[in-house]
Amino acid sequence: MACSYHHTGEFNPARSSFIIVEKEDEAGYVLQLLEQATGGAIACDGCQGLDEPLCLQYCREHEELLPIMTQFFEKAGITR
Amino acid sequence: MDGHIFGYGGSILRVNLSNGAITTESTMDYARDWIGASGIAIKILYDELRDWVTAYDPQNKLVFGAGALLGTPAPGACKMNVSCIGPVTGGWASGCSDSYVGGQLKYAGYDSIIFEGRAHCPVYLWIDNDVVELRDASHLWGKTTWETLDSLRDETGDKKLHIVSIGPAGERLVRAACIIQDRNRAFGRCGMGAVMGSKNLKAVVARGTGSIKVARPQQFMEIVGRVRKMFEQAKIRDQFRDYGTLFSLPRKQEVCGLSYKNFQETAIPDDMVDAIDPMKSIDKYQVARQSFPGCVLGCSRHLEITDGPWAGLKTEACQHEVVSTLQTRLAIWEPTFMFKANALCNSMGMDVDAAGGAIGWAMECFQRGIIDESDTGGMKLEWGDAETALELIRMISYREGFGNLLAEGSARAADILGRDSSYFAMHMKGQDLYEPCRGSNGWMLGTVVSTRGGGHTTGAIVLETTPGLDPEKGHEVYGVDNIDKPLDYEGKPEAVIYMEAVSRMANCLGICLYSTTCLDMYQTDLSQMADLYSAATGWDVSVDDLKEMAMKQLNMEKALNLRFTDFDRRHDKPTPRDWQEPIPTGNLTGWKIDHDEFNKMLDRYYELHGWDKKTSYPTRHTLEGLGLKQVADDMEKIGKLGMK
Repeated sequence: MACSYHHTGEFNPARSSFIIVEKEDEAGYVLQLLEQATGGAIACDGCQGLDEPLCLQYCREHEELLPIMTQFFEKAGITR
Repeated sequence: MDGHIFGYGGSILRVNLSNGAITTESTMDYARDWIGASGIAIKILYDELRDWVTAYDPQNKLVFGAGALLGTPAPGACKMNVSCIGPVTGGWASGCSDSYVGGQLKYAGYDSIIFEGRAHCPVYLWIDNDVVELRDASHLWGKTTWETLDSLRDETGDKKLHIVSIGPAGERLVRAACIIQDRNRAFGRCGMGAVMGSKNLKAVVARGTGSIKVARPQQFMEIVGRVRKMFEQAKIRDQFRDYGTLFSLPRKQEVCGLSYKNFQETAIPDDMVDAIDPMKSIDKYQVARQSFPGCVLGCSRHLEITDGPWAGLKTEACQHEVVSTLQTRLAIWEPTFMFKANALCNSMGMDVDAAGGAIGWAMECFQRGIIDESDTGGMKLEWGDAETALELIRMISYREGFGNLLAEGSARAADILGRDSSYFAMHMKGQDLYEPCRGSNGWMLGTVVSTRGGGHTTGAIVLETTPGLDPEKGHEVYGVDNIDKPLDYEGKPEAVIYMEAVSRMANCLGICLYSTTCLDMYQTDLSQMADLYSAATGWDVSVDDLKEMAMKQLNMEKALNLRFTDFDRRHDKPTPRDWQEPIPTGNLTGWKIDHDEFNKMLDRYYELHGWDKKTSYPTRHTLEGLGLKQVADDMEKIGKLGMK
């Protein structure tokens, strides 16, 4: 929700750069970060202009998100 | 969207199941005076239900309501509520659950759904943004809630589809049947699932891709951040994240807060605490975390049971309630029983407390020779027999054999059976409960005065037996100096009324009660709720405004009960066993409810509410002070207006 707020100023998981995918044959889920827009979802821009991405500020699953975002920053050549 | 309101979806769906008509109304018609989920529901039910309506009458209405902050990142905002006239008490029936459907409902632009009438054949409601239609559910009727979810996901090809549904228990009008979110979360107590079954409504499916817009977004996010930060001070946070309420078993044992053999004892054998330790089971069997969007604590886990009698079971962990209401109540030592029983109840759409209450009553009757195999269809009902307990849950859900009697709940079953068995039916106002009322007076008071029959989630002081409470903080939050003294009688009415406001506002806003001051004084309080709601809607509300709205809602619940039931002061009382017997074992051995002190405490509670101490009825002065003149007139007409 925080992610969609960054992109649109509103709360709308359908526009988020994160997709939560439930695992097929076992319990749990996988977080997928969109680097390209898909359907209504908007690609991650690393929360440009902010000191810390909103997902890391607001999501409870900070520990799961941190390596995903770190990898994204490395790949995109963003340093913070 | 019919009329834009910040924070809300904007519209209310009205679905007439008798003729298939689906219409929309603006949420604005209600939202200025009645906040969100259960607030809007009580207004609709009070105004629209005719006085002769009973729970299963097609004229009864079933109101689903998404919390006013659901769909936003407000900490803990993940709840939807369902309300109606219920078949357990005959009066106000209301329960909430974490709910994906609630969030999707709001993203589709709807805040509530009012179901009225009765479908001619089984149907389910399909909501996909603007597409809202009733669909045939004949092929789903008879399926468990788990099978129903799988079927609808297969049919639609949408593996992320979320539903709420009823199982065999709701279809067969088992009185305390639940509505289940997907597989593992229940809109529990009161029998809303049975009302859904009476309407031939199998499920509700919602998909929404719209957005929730708040009035002051920057301020809203700042408040969200501040509240999230506040949780870092909460003492229970780490334990709660790891084990949910299951961490509380050892403490409940210390304070005699458990049910053993149907409340014959309120502490369990000490070696049983270790034998069934649910925290060990979580450590051993957890395979993934589970939480809902908006959840701030993340208290649940997916489990895969790898050994024991139910090896192979994949399910979500239960909460403490199941430990006390089924595991220890039935004296079952196999540690994985709680997960198996919880999973079975959820798949059947059966309330865990109603199952535990009815089976506990039956086992005690069997123990005492009140019933025998000739009553049970040849079954021996013996404490500790897990397989028999599971079979009884199944039989109750399908109303098979002896299960048909238990499906009525312990209170009615005892009335039907007779033989002086009613003393062993541990209920309040007909509602089977797991809450022992001895040894924790704020918990007891909040439980017995609950407008939905009984229970600890509408005003009980849940944290008063928590060790190491800071009295100074207690004074700041609860307004009393003795929040840490559960055996005091003084101060409890004031604290209960505070918690009645917190629980109602949490429910209206869709905030999980576990993330409020109910469990830890450093969690969300009315002050944060007011800030979040004000920034979300742009309507500035204060703590006092929220308190007044909560009291208005509570008085409406009370008035609804007075219209549809015979409840009065006599019913705001613990069970006969709790009332008469001293605690027999454990650290509080010999402690007994002081009847004079209890009555003084109840007097004070009514006095603070402005209710008649003799009858418990609200007075005209109180009702009119809350803007409820019409309700006062209604109460006068039926002779239930309080005199002083």
